[in-house]
Amino acid sequence: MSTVQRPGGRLQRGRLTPLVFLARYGLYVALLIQVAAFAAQSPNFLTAANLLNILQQTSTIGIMAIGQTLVILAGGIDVSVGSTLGLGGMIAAMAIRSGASPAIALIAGTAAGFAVGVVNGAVIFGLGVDAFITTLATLNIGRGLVYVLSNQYNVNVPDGSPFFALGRGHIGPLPVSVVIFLLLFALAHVVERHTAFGRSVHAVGGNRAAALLSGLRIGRIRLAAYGISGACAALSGVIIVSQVGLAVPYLGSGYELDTIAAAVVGGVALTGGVGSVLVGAVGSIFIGVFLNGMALIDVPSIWQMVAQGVVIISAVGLYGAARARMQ
Amino acid sequence: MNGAERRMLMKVALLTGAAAGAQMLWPRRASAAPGKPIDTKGMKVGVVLETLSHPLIKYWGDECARQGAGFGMLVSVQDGERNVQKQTSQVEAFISQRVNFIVLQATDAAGLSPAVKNAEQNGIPVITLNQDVAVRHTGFVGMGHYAMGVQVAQGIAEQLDGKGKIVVLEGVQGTGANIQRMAGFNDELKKHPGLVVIANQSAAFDRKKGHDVFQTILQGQPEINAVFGVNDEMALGAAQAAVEANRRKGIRFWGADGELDMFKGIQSGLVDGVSAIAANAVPDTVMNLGSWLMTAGVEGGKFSGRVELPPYNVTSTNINSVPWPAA
Repeated sequence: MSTVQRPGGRLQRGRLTPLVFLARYGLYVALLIQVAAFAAQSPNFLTAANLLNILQQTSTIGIMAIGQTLVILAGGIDVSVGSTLGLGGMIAAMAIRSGASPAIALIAGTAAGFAVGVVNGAVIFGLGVDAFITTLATLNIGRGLVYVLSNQYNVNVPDGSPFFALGRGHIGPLPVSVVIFLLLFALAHVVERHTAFGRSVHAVGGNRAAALLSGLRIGRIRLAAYGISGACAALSGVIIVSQVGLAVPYLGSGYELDTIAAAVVGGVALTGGVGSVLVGAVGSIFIGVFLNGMALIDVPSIWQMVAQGVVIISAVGLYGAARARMQ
Repeated sequence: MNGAERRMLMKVALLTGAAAGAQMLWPRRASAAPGKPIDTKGMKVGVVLETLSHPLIKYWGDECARQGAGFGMLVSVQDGERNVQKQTSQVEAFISQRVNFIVLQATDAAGLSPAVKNAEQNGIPVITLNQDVAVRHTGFVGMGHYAMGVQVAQGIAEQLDGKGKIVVLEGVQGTGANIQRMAGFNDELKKHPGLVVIANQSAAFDRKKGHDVFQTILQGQPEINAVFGVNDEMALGAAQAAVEANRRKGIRFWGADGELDMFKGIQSGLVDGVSAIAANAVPDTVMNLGSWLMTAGVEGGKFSGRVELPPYNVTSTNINSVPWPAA
């Protein structure tokens, strides 16, 4: 397994020049600078209540980012997650309306997302179709399925349903969605760092030829990553439906770009193998802090869009420059 | 008077208004139509909508088909997929099929103008639905978005006795509905110097985003007296965030559209007011106007007129005496 890279990849080696330092720890430095800047602008930013809000607002994108990061690390991309989120949420809402228990609705919604992910993986590695094209197609298929299931109408969760506990409930001071996000992140982090599967994900994404020679079952590893990504997306959809009380047919549209942005800002390379679930999750928190702070100090929404784009380009540019130096 | 009777009364009132408006706009032609009215049975109607993935627009499409069937017409409803080229080719296909009239909800005012001009030149009347185009055409029927903004500002001024701090949650910036509703709101606000907008953020017409953005604003603003959600979804999301933060008391939540969830929210005390237009009013007026034009033998390219459906404010004081949306 000499070709298998440690999480973090090439950036972990070599001389610690300022550029490499920034590429390695820039995300955390930028996060701290961002927090300090918003705290200076608003006394209400650095409060326990607001930090909990940030975690809650980030949790659904964060859960999706975990799955997306695994897929990207394994050398793929999953642009179908927005529709998968919608599908999972819609199935859960319909299950609740038909009298199913919250647990069944949660399982049914998440399982549907897992199935979409497995189909993605099977098409990509069974038929050899490009990952972007495949998931772009399933983005459409998934949305179409949501429309068919809902007849393009909203599906409401009945008032007083115990299903609301998932999106609106708390465990101690923490919203349930935050607890799920943190648990899933911890699980994914441990799996990535301390299991053969985690190392294999990095290996197949970092150097496919070497991974093949090492006897890794590339197809299965990538299939599993897509399955996890689909399940994470659908779970996010179930949580959102439980939070707002209805499933809209367009639920999750555009979220695929948010998850990819979170991973990229975190430092996960779209070429595969470089990055970690940790930085993917921190990337989503970084964007969550950004959006929260901007709204708190009342920056006009139009400028927020511009600034968000600048942040993403800056991050990718920085990481790209550092990686080029390392090679 | 029960709900069905009220709805019927509302329809009759709207139709009378539309017909009276049309009489004023096209007096000679209408009254000069020779002989007995033309039978609309078997007439073909082409309906091109902006999208069918939005529940309200999907409902409009269904309602156009249902109303048309009531006049014996054959109605074909097309999904424009928010695409100018797609909508243009759909309109052109209807021109080739020589439909009797076309209903169009244009995704872009300038982009669809050549197709509308072409239809009118071919003698096929075009009635635009809720979104206008940039060329003269037979009819426009839409919601009075500007009036909605004015009414919300009036409703808030009344409930707050003309003094208080307001948070605005805007929809997708640049869209016609957002621009016109905000213009009406801001213009009316100038008449109430005691009302001050203390924060203005976009929440993209989405309930989840309305929740998240207002959750953040609540942290930064210790005193908020009213919230204007430029659509109902954002107002509902914001109200839920206030409930979760134990800040519901003392804040008046207003929306615009008149969704069933909003009416339920007013009745339960979750929200405080909405400027509403019955969901069926727009498509029903379009089809009744179309039927009236056909009966009178009106051809395309001859006339031009507008019907803007007036909204009405709904609060806890009149919630039980106004027509409720069906779904």
